[in-house]
Amino acid sequence: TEACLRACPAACTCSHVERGCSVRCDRAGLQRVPQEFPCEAASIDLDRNGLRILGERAFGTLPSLRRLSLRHNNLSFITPGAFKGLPRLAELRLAHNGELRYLHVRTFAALGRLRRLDLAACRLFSVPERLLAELPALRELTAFDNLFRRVPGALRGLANLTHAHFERSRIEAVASGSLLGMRRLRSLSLQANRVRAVHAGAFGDCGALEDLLLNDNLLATLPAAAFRGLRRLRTLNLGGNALGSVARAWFSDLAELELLYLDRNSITFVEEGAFQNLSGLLALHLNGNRLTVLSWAAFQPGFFLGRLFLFRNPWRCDCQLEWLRDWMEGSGRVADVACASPGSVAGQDLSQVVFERSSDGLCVDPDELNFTTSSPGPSPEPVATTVSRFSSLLSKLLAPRAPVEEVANTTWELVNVSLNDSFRSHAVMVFCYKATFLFTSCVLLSLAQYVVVGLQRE
Amino acid sequence: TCPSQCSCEYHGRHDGSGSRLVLCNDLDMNEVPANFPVDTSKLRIEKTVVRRLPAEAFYYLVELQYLWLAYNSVASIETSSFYNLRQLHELRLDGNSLTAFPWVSLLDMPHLRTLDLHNNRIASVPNEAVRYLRNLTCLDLSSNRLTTLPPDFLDSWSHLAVTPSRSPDFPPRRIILGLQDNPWFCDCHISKVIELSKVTDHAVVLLDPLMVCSEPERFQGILFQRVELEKCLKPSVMMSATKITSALGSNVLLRCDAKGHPTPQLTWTRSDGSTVNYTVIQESPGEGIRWSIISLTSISHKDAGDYRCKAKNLAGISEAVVTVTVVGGVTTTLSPDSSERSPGEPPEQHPQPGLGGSTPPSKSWLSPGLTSAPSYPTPSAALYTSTWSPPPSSLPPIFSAASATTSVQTSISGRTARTSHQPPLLHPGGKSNAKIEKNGRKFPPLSASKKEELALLDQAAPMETNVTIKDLRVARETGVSVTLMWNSSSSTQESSVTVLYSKYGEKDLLLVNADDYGKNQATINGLEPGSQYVACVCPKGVGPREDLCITFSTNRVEGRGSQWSLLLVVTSTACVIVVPLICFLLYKVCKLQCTSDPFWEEDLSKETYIQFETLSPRSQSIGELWTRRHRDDGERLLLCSQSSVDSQMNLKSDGCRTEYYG
Repeated sequence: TEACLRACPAACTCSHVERGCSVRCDRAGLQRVPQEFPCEAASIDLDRNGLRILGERAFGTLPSLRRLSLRHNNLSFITPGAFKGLPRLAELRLAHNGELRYLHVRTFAALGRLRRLDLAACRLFSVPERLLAELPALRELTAFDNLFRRVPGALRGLANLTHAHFERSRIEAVASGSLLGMRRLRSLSLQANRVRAVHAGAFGDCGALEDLLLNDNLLATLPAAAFRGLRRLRTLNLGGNALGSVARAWFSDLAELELLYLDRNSITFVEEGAFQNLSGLLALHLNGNRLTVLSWAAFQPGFFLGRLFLFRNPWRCDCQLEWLRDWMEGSGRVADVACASPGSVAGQDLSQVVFERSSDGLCVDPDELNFTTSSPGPSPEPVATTVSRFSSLLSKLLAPRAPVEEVANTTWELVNVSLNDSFRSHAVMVFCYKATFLFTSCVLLSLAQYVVVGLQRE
Repeated sequence: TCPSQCSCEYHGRHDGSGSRLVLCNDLDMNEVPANFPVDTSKLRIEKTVVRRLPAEAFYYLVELQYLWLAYNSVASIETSSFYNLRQLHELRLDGNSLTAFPWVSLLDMPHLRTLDLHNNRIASVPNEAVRYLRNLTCLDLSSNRLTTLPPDFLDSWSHLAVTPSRSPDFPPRRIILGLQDNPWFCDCHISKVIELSKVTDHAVVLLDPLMVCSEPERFQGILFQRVELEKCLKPSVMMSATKITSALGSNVLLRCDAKGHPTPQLTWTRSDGSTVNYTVIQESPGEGIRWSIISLTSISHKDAGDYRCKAKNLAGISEAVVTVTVVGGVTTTLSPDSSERSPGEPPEQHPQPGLGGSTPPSKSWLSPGLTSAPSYPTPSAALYTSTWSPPPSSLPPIFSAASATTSVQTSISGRTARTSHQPPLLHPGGKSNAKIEKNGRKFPPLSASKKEELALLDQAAPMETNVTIKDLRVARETGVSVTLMWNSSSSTQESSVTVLYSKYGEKDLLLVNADDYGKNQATINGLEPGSQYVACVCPKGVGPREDLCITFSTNRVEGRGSQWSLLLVVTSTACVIVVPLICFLLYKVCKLQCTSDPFWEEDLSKETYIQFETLSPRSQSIGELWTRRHRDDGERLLLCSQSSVDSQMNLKSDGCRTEYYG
């Protein structure tokens, strides 16, 4: 305890906490690493300083050091062997060193116990294939906000890595060899990259994968075998892509899947049986697509009992969706299915649509209206769809007259507005006389012409 | 899974239940992460640089109860940002940069009880927000930039005040409001909040009752508890008559006076709820007072009924009703109110001086209604009514006799009242003082300047003058000028009078150039055609008086109108003469055709056909139009609107006629 405080560097504060000696040198304006740290130091925080270069054995020998944080510095070069003498280092944070860009293959040599490595926002664009090869204990790698453009080859063969975060790193593809040998990977986040292609079998070695986040990429389609072998997958996020349809084969292996996000795509069609093996699904997100119809067959043969998010789709509420309406009523786990068509029910929620029955008990589709585009307003009672169709047709035909009536009313008021406005009404009066006069003179002229003809004849 | 810049904890309980807490407080986080655990019940995104909450940002967190977004940089929130947060109890957005909150999004959060918007940049709460606030029990708007609140703001929770606490187990429901540390403008808009800060034990409790006014200057820095606002008075409408009986065809003025603070708004409605179509003149001669007059000209039986005058301001609404009864026949009945009017009472509607004698120009029959716009502010007063008769020119002779009698009466009363009589448009407030003393009621004191003005006027109006002007009339009028004539009883020169005029409804009087004066006549030039003016002839040194004023309108529309009616007469005469002639000729032609030989007949028919073709050379194209009509909807619409123009025209001409004969 005493030693921790005694050897504290000038710019730092040292304290003995539960986990050992903690040295805090953050925001101290340091341009170089202090010469000496307490030998007992378990945690050193050098965040937000001006460190530029880490030389060899930059921290000396600190046998107890478990956590070292160097975020928000100006590190441009880390000399190979800089972290030598830190045999128990478990967590190394190098995030937000925007000048780093490149790491030597031997940078992390001798960190045999490193479990967590944070390389976020270091503008890394390429890392040596074997950068992480000497980190057998590495479990978590955080590397979002970089410029990789492809899944770093350094990941290959990291058999102990469980979590990999590669958000917003401009990655364009997940190739078949990208994730080879990552047998313990449980969580992989590739969200908000530029992934256009996922090769068949790309996740073939990742049998332990539980969470796969591919949302907010540029995927327009997926190979049938894209997720083959992911038998433990619980979350699959494909939201915010450009998928146009959902193929039957994609999710066939994902028996454990609990959450499936397909929101914010351009999905117009879901193949029959696409969700058929997803019996454990807790929530299916299909909101924000272009779905007009969702076939019950997509879920067959199993029963889907989870939540279904379907809002923001142009649903066509005809008899093909009757199952869904019944299911909404029964389960209460679906809401907000706003109908965009047919015309007689447009604007309503599917739960309010009443499907009529023909004499032989078959469902009758709600009526289409010819003028739906011009009147998206609330339609009349769904029960009387035929009547409503007629009435709205009538109102269509009568529509152009409505404003005229208004005009007429205002004119009437104008006249009644009385004294102050009398001049205006005089003007109107004059206008009326003018019209009458013109009309009369027209009649007279034509008559006169006829008379002339008659006279000629005579 | 947990977002990479957040920490996710699960607090399990022994009974197996638990709650997921997610905390994101990474200084470098600049957008709301996706993929929070779906069982999150408490989400804190704090001290980040997140600037916006995207639409439907949390829709999948169906179990979320607490959403704390404090001390970020959130500047914009979408209307649907909180979509589907049906379980949310608490939403904290304190310490952000919000300038507005999407209040309608509260509909997405039916269980929300606490909304914390402390320490933002919100400058206003819109009126429509009020309807969404009902379910909140804690709303913190402190440390924002609010200057005022919607008038119904506190009414959002009026249901709390009336609901008594049902059992002792449940404490009475209260709403806690944080409104302190805002630059409040202390006026009637927030008078209820100011009152609230002075009392305790209310259903609405202020988080910190120590609130300070920033404006207006006289209240700057003063605690709400010490602010004594000018009374925010509920409007009061008073009346001296509730029933008026008037003859068919006479003109009736209904006057409604209201006071209140802030100055109330006045609206007239009929008993059936319809609005009043007659002229409504409104004026607010001073803070807190407003009067309104409707003038019913030539009333008919359909004008009978209740007229409701409604006054509304921030503090409330009140109204008064007057019932107008129209009796048939030609006798003119003065309302009891006006017959017992004392000299100090303002403005019975004077008919034009000389109405019974020299007839005013024919078109000026409109003018009584206009001269009758008295702006006497008489705050106490009431629903004044006056009846005057229409001009003889537009009425049967027997009626004009009766109206002549009336005018004599009123002119007599006008004489007696002359000393204190002020013409309406010129001296608003002129009678206020007298009125106040007379009635012994309390009214907000007039401003000093007003008083001075009044005093000046009183001095300027001598009790007697040796110049008497009678029989003011319009001798000649054109579009841009008018000549006034009057009889003067004095022997002094013409320069002893002044002629003032103003455009009707405006207060600024213009002096007529002295060059334009003649002996007992004056010409006013530079008028706008087709407008109405008020002109007053005053003896030198005397203010204009109502009975020496005349309202006239410059020519234009009337002139055009008569021209047109002349044309009409000509054309109709032509019609009357020509039509029988044509009939006769047609008859002749028919006869000729019947009697002529077949060859001639055939030739004739050919020629007739040709003639018809030339008469309607477009018959073919019209046919085309009709066939196209079936093809093209747009074309059909065009035709529809065409026909609609026709029907509009018909209605218009109807309306004209009504006006003309009315």
